[in-house]
Amino acid sequence: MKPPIAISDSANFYVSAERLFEPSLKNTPVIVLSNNDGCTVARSDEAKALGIKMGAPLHKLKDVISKHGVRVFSSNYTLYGDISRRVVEVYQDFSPTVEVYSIDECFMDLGGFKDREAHAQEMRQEVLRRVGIPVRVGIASTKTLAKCANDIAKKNALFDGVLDMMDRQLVDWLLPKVPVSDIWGIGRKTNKKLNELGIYTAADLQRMPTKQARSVGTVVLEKTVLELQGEPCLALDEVEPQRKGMAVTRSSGTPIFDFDVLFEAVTAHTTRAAEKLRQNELAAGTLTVFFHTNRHKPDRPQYAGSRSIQLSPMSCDTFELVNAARKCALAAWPKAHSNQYGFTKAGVMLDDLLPIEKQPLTLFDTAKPKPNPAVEALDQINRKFGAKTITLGSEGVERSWRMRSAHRSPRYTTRLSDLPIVR
Amino acid sequence: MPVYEVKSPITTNSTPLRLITTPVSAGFPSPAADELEDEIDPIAWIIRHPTSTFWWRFEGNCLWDVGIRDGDLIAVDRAGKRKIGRAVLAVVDGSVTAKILRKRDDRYFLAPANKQEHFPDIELTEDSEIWGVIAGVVRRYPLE
Repeated sequence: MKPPIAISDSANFYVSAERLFEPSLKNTPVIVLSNNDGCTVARSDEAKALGIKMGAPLHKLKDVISKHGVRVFSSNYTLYGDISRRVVEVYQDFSPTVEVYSIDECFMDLGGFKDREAHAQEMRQEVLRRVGIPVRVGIASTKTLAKCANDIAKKNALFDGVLDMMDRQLVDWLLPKVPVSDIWGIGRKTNKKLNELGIYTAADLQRMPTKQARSVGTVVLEKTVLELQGEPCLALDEVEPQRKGMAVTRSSGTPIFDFDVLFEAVTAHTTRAAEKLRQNELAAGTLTVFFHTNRHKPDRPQYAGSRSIQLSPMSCDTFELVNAARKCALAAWPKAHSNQYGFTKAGVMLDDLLPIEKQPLTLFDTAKPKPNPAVEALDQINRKFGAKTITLGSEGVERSWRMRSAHRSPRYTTRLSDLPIVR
Repeated sequence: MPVYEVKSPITTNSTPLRLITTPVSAGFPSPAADELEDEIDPIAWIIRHPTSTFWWRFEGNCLWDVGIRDGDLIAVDRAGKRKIGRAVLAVVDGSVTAKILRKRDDRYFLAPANKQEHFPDIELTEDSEIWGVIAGVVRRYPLE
């Protein structure tokens, strides 16, 4: 028999994390907003019941918020990240192999456990008891089926949070009831194509000839069909794949008209990207800076600028990277009428990443370049006293470009100054 | 590595001169080297279950008699056993409170621990929930 794969995911994870330290949020409609307070990224069941849709922009929700007393939060990834880590720690007590798939989803190997359903129920209870987060578990012979089982458990209270679909008969009974658009990896476009071919349910898709699947939706769809048939095509990845590139991109709180302000934002993003490089012990070979105006306002003057630069030698040094970013930003800045463009997004991308120790020497290097002690000091100080204790001067002080996060809850679990208070 | 100055030129006639640059350790190894231990970490001693322990800041005087003062940091373990007489965090009517868990006539109560001031007992209802058990207290005093 194929080894059972489980996926556990948290119900409305961000909302659950907010409720942990503010129990008054229980049974009230709660929404969490995306970066820059743009749109809804998480909703409590009560908010869903009010008809608030995923992705709904905040400015369109003003009425429903004031009418029903919806509690609104900016996303607090510091908090969610810490709670997510704790949830994963509990999973690790229940499976030898846990793959962190996203901030609120983990795949795990449940091979060798006799009563899988009881095991999964105990895991749910432990996550709730120890971390206070409700989770649901789907079990099947492939990742795609496990996802599907999880989805069914989520939507039907009768499964009590755990659905074990290892039983073939259960799969055959349930798949005809699942719309094909609910299957993992089936996007809107593929769904439309499949509907045109008369494929409406997961069972229809399961019966699709693999050759046809490949021609309709490449090897990706072919794999989905095979996975629905119970043939594992997606392995359990325990090890995080080495990153080939990384990006730090942010919307600006207010439009940027001035080069110096743009460069402040670019400095901040580059600083963050360089920190991430060093955390992963990587160096970058290419740096790209890009920025653009608000595409959703076509009546305003539009401009998108982007420039890349090769870094030689490769680097993870904040000073060198910010220098390179400045060159890119200057080159990409509009040559004429620059003051008419309001830039609302800026970002930095780093590519050609290599582990620092594998970094090739340049022609004139005799020894491996030593890490810059100033950068080491920067990291140590910011680690000890909190992010942004020391920044480059070019990041500015006012930071008008900073993201809006007007409703962010305290960083309860990571800052002494933000501890929750009990009387 | 220290640098030693060569005071006068060294000459040779056809005999090769070799400079050995391998550092040579000198002096005595520390007799304590084999006996070194990690520093004491009382916080790690308080936290028995890192996954389920969360820090809160306590305000007020209702737990004065069990040594918990206004402004103390308290470690709260969600996995701690709920036993009668233990200091717990509980959620009552949507707000969080720290009290002693008591039982009288088969009913559970949250009781203060302060003989000086009067705080009422709160009866635990079906809607209330024990959030966690207080695992330890951390306090510091001014030095300057």
